[in-house]
Amino acid sequence: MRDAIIQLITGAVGSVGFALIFRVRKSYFLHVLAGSILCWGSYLAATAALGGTEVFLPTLISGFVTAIFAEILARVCKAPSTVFFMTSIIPLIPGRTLFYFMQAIVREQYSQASNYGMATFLTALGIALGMSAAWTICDFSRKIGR
Amino acid sequence: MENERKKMTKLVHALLCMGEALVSCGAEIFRVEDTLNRVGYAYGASNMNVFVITSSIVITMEMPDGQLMTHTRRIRNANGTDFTRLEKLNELSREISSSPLPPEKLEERIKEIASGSCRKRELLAGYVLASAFFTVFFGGSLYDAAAAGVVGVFIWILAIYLMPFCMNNVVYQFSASLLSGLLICVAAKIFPGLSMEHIMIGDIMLLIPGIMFTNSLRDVLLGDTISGAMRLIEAILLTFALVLGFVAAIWIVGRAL
Repeated sequence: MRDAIIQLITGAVGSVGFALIFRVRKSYFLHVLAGSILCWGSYLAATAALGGTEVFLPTLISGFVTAIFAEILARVCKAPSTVFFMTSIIPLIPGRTLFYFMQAIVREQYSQASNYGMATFLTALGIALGMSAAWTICDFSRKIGR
Repeated sequence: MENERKKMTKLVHALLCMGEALVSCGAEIFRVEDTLNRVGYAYGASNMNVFVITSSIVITMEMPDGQLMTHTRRIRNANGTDFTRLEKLNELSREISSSPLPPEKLEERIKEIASGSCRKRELLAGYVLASAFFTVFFGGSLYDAAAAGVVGVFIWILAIYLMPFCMNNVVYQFSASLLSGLLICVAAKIFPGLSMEHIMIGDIMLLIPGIMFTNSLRDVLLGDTISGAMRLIEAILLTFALVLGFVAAIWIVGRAL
């Protein structure tokens, strides 16, 4: 539990770091904090609910939730949803598995390398698919609303 | 007639500038096409044909009196991310959709937005914050975080002073990964209390093209297959360069020291 709280807080501040790099407006920094906490929180919750062995489904769910959040913020703030999505999703970016992939290559442990390489790719795919699903639903709702 | 033609040339030119500015600040291809179409119709076009990929824009504008104009623009740099600029362009397009500015004025406004200064200090703060906090996020200690922050400053220096000398992004990515990897490995050798693993994971977050990868898959899924494929291949190349750089750094320091 303590680990999860540390992760939620550091992940959120780290995402604000990325918001600075991407030049997000300062008035949106609170939104970024909230989005990042939601993103990592939903990932942790999904991992716990699914038993904690999979990478793909939790990432997909978290990507979906974050994208819905970004779409809602986009309509409230009248700004492009990318601004909120790209900054909130940062904790999911598979930096760690990519590192273990490289470490396994250096140590010549190729079956581990392929496992970590796969996990890296599946994480990225999960984010994109979750986001696209959310995007499609929002697009539908917009058109039906008219 | 001649006057009309000149005005139209100016307008299409302004649209190309707008499209280029949008692509280079990280907008989705879908959004760029949509915005250019809407602005074109706001200026009275009877038909707009806009085709955008990450390296080129083609606009054909058709007026109600039958005049046609096609212009293209090659885009060299489509990898930036600048959300302040994106938002300002978005606001501008909304504004002109309801009340069109004269074309000269429009181009002036776009140039003004596109030439906004890059704020180095905020970039530095971002690099340090992101690398230090993600080191803790992935399980590093506070010392690791401090070290990752220092390497973050180093990567910032590379991004500002090394990037302009590099032939392309892949070369930059490889050199930045190799140099920061060497720095981390040497530091971990000198100070045994530091965890090379966690510092490296924190700093990889700065270099990994995760956003680009997500963007590319999104473009594919939204129907812009060519742009998506181009960005995807670039993201994969950048990841290879990153892996090569860090692997070489770990290997060199492992053998030499």
